[in-house]
Amino acid sequence: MTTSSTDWTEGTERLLLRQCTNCSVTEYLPFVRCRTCGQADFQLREAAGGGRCVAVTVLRVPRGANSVHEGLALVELDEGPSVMVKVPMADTGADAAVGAGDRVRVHIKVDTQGQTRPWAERSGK
Amino acid sequence: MTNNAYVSGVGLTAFGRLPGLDALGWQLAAAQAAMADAGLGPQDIDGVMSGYALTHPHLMPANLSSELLGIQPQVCFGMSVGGATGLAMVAEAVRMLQTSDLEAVLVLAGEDRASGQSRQQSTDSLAQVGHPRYEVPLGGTVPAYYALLASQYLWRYGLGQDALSSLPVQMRRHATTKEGAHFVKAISETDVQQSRPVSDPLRLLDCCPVSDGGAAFVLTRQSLGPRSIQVLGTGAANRHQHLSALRFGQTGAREAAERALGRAALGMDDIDVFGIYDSFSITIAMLLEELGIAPEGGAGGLARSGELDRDGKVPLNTHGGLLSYGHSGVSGGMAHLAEVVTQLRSERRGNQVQGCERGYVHADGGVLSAHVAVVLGVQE
Repeated sequence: MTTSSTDWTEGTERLLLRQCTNCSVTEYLPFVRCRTCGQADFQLREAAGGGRCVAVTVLRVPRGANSVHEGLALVELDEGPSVMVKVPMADTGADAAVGAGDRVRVHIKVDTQGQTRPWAERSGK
Repeated sequence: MTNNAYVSGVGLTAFGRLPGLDALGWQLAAAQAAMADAGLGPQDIDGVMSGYALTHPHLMPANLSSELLGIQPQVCFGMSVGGATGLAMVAEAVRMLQTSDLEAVLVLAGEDRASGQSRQQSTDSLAQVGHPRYEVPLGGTVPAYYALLASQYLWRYGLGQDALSSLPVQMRRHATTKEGAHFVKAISETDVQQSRPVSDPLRLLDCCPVSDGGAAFVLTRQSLGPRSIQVLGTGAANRHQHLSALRFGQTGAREAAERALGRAALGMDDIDVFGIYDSFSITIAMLLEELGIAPEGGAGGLARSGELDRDGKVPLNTHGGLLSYGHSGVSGGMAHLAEVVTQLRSERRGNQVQGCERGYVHADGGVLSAHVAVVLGVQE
């Protein structure tokens, strides 16, 4: 449990979840009221990081005259909620290094452009 | 004849990259066509609703159009529920006609979404359906969010990358004979699979185009004759805004359908012609399956079997849908209703669905976030 509410979106290297103190359902997005029971009291906790990747796409991000490939994924955390994360590209450069169905670990990383973002790395099938 | 509502006027412009008109120009063209189709003049209209336009944000869009059209309505407002806006306006018009003294409501939308802004502007404004803190900073766009749904879909059902390719092919087959469609050249599944990757696994032909165009309806409390098509039921559901909050297979589509069909006292099996939102191949697949029209993982197979064709068991988007008739913002989701009404009026000539008496139309906004369903029928 934690009391401060700053997370990666403000440059703090952690992924925060919000557990409803009434119905115990855990959510990722900072809802004001619980969508399961309607209560307004949440306990902040840091995600353990384990989860399963359920979706992956490769973005083609314009960079000057060319475009670079970037992996984007959805991970279902072991705590329940879905989290959108970045994923590394495979060495071939065409596909993401993580596939739907893979067990992953989510961690917060400061990338080469100085941006604090959640990333998922494969941890098993 | 209280508690009834009818679609009595339909105005649908051509869609495409058609420079010349601005957003207001498309809205007015569609509105005048709908009023002419209903045989009503400005003095007959007492309610006006207008859908948002990305290329022409305005504080009071319906008042603006009303003044130009010589309409002085009692009720007048704009609405924004993403791609569901058109049907949400129709549902609201039905409620107003059933519960107030209004006689005729004009619903309109249109914009120069293709010609009036750059592709980057369009992508950037649409990406704002993502969460500004938890999604947008990761670089996703609307096609990327739907690509994530497609990836999840293919994985869940153990399907290959080509499982959805038959859906855009079927939409295009319908558009080849539809006047005013953005794209009319027939395509094959190979064409879809070899088109440019946009956001894996979605390719260019899995995605609807951005189009110019407009659509409008006049809804009335009384039937104006046999061409007035009765609204038998409407239903809506809104379960989330952002993709990170979406529960796969429980987007709200089913609730919206059940509410609309329940009010119409009909089942999906009673429907003869369908108009369902198809912004991407994955959109139509997930909607068909959540609505129970196709089995889980089976929407592509249903398209491949020919059942979504005009002569099949589930005639779907017989105008070509967003994927081929085109997507001009709010009016894109209204074209499905325009087509279903035209079919129910038996006015589609060579492309008529034979013996159709009941229609089902469904639109979604955001990332399968907002759902509105409308059930229509010819008068008893």
